[in-house]
Amino acid sequence: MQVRQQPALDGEDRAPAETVIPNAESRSSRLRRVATLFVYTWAVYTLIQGGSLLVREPYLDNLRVAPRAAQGAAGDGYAETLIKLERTLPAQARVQLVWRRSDGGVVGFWYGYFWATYWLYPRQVDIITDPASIDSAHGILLDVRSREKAELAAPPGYTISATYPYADQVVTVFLKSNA
Amino acid sequence: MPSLTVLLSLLAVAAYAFLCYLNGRLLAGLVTKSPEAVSLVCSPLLGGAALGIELWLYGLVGIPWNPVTLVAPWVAAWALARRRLLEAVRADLAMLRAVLEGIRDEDRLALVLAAVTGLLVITYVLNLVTQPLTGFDAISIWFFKAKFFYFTHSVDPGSIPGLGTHFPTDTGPFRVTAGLIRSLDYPPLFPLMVGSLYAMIGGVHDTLGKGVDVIFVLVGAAVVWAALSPYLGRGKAAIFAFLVTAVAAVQSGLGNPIYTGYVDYPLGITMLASLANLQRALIGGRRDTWVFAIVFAAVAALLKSEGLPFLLAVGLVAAFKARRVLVSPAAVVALVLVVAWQAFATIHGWRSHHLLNDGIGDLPALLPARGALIIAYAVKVTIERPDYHWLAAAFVLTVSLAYRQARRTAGAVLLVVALQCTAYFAVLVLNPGELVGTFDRLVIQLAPAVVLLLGLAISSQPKEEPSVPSALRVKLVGQ
Repeated sequence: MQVRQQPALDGEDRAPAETVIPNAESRSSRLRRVATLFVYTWAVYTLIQGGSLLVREPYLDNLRVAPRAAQGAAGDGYAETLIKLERTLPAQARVQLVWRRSDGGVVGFWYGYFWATYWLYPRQVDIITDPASIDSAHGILLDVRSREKAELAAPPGYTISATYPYADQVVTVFLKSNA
Repeated sequence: MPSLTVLLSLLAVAAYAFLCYLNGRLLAGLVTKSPEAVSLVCSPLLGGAALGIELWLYGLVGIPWNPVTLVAPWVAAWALARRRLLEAVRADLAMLRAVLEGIRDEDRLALVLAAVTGLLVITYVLNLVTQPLTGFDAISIWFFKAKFFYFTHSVDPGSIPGLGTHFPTDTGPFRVTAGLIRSLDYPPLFPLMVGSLYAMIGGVHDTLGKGVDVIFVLVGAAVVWAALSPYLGRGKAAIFAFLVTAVAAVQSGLGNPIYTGYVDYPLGITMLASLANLQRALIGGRRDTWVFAIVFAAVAALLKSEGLPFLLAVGLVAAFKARRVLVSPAAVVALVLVVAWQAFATIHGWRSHHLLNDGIGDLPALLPARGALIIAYAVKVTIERPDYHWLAAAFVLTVSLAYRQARRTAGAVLLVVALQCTAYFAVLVLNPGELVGTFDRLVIQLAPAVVLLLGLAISSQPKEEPSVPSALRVKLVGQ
């Protein structure tokens, strides 16, 4: 690059002018024209893409559907159930999540745990995968199982509060009898 | 019939954005009486960050988080500075009016793009407050922390219940725990900003929480326009403002449920705000543009860990070019907050990612192959994703232009972005564990800066005096 900089003549707020040597200038201005053409092409491409987003956007549906309903319809049956339970379960209760879904492995386990801790907060949520580890210190048991897994009998001291069956899974809520 | 909740959500987001703007304008006035245009348009970002930091301080001294405690100090400050604040707001409105009137004189493409930019902003805002919260990181990290901070009225991720939870068969020495996934060391500002929105409305509203992104959408478009219009004229600057609002990576950050609610887009816009001020400072802007460049870089470091190398890069440039601004009160406060959080996280031993999992002696053998692998992966993804072709081409053109003619306007900004990319590369080379899941997010972080850089590289000469907004200049000339 063949550029010389001249000192600023007009105070600190003005950038000093640059003097560009002719040969370099023609190459530079050619590159600048290419860059400008690129910007216009990129803008038109993005306009088509952004325009498509604007046209596809279901504005009226977005305005009509309450966010909570949209949230409830967004996930699978488990997520949907959590959103229902958020407002109905006692706020101070401890929840034990019995995660018995066979899909997802470790990722499924963390999905089960983090979704429960988020939606059921401020309730403390503990997670287990084996019903034999059920701890009666929890006021609420949340059994989440794949369809093919056997139904969990109500542990001593708990009663079934609600069952939410879905095509791929069943969510059962047990409440401690004296809770 | 529109849902009442949606209408109230839109109203709440508008009120939040206005509150952020007023507070930011007030704070900008403490740094300088008349901020330059690139600093002035970042007021909502400054105000939003200040609301989050206010709650952080409340947590330290035990003040409850509610609408009264959140807003009362600001109302008092507005009352004390009412004359100056009113003048500032009037001047900003006059500038906005002049900009809108000026756009009418531009070519048709610029007009269409300006209109589409406006529609996109409206669409994003509607999406943010109506679409569900679904992303894994949003649920497990960012919005969970926002909820937790809000309910406990404090910033103590270490007291989140169940941090030791792990998958039953994961019993090894390096087992993955809930605490590790929750990334306790991540800076707290974004959850605090969401928490400030909750505090403003007096309760947790999961979907509405995403609405804080509105200030980043507005600042992104405005700062690119303010930074480029002195060089390129209003028409071309409008094209770049459109690009920074509409490029596919940004659409992902605001419309794709996988990413919405993550902090990559806010981080990208905050780095953009810092870069725009840095560029202005470097070409002879006033001292306060340096201060704003450092403050926004510090805000970036308080939003996400990737902001730390960025703050370091901006700090290095400032140390070489304008050392004294590093000890200005605003810069010191911002830097102290960053250092305080890092010290707090270190004292608690929170590290979500170990930078180095290998022995030092093994590194010479490992690093070259990893470096080659990362470059190959980046090239592969760029080839496979048509949306990335444009960003890659923009970056190549910027480098070519900066090398040939635009060192002054784009060179130092390009240097900071290059240092940031080098930091990403270095971290991935040392710990490539999350390369595949990270790349798209890094692109969201860098896309706004690439758009700004291309605009700066195209022009090397200011067409008009950039320091004074045109509406104010008209007023001054008319006096």
